[in-house]
Amino acid sequence: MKSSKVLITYISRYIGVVILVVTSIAAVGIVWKYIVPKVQEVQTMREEIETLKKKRTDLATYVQYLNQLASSTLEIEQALVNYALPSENDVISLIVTYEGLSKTEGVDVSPFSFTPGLIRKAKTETDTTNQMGENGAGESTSPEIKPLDFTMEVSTEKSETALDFIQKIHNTRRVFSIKSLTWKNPLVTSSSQGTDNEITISMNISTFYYPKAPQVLGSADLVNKGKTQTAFIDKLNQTMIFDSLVLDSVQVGKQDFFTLDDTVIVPTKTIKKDTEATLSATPSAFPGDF
Amino acid sequence: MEREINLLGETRKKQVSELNNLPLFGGSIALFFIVVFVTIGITIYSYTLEKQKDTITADIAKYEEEIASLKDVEEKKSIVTLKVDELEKIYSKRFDYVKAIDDIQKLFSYTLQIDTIDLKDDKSAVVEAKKTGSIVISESQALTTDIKDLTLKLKLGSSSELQETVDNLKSFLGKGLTRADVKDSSKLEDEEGYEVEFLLTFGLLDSKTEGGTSQ
Repeated sequence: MKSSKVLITYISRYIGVVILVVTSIAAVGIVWKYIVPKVQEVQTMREEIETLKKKRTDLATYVQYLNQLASSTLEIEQALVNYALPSENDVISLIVTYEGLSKTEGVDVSPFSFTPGLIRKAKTETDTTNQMGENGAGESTSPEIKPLDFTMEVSTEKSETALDFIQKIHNTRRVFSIKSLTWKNPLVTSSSQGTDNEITISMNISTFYYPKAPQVLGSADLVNKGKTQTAFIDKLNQTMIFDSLVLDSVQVGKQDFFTLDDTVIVPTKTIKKDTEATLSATPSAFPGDF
Repeated sequence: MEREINLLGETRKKQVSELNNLPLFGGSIALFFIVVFVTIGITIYSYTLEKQKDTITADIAKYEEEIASLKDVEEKKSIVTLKVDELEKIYSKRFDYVKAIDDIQKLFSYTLQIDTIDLKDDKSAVVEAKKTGSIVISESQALTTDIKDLTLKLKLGSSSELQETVDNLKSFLGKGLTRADVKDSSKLEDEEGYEVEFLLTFGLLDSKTEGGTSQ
């Protein structure tokens, strides 16, 4: 009886300490096993959420940009840029541009000559461009770009006309890049400019195409570059095309097949020199703001 | 009597130690509730974050789906962007031939009768010309021109005229002309005199480029 009484006395004396120790051990256990990992998990999750939020914002901007493109300027931009730098060897636009240039008043331009391999397509394109690369053409451009080299001989009487023509070559929508130029007789002193002497200019010109397979750029690249390139695209829109000058449609024959009238429309092809600049993409059809 | 007094003393001690358990109980309860609250709090916070993450992930999935539906737009724009990149490179590498032709005229201050100009996109020029008097090189034009190397082919009547031309060119060294070398000279076959090729370099004279005229 006495010993149990002593035990009860001890227990009643130290019960508070025992409970505090047990609670503390339990608390440390919970903190160690549950709260600390949970805090770390929360920290990781918060970082993840920040990353995801950024990604969501980027994607939202990207989606908005793509939707805006789809509903507005992409088709026009594509047509414009594809004309300037086709995806395949587009000889038609090359000839049209060449012929368009040759119609410039006051200059005689040599006929367009097909150099071997110039109009070759598809499988043989790589071989052709490799040959061109070996010959030194297109060395300054990136490997994806394929150059097409041709020559142009021009003669004119006035140096001003010749200079304007050279300027014009670098202002065509189908990109022409003069590699070398020989100006012959007579660029003389100012007192004798504008005489009857004939000026001949021989040029080695390159035009290009871009046969790279479609690849999707990263969203940030696409949005950033897309926005910074608008000024250039706008500039490209101001360049000259000659399609309607060279490929003007000609109406022939009856318009209405069910009339008894025998009148036929006589071909009346007219060349409109003043409209050669920005023929198809007029400012109204092509908003400057992309 | 003394013992009784001691016993009374023990009873008092026992009462004091039983009373001291109360703050310990209070502390234990407080610790328990703190741990419980922190655990509940962090669990709730973690759950909220989980929900937020799910919402954002769902949004991202929605956007990605939308982007997938706009893949053709994406591809078209990518090609346009890449092509514009290339076009910008082509445009930036272009040599301004009109300015170069004009520069050549102005460079010699119209003191040469130019027969032929050969220009290349590496900004080099070969000019065949006849002298109409003393050659004058415009310093301001020499400093602003894009042409850095110019080969000047001149037909000269005699060796004294050649010496005179060399002296003439020497006088412009450091005044827009950094170097003037006689690259080649040959006797004319059909007439008396020489055809001389001068290699002229324009720009600012620096310590690396020793100016001089050599024959």
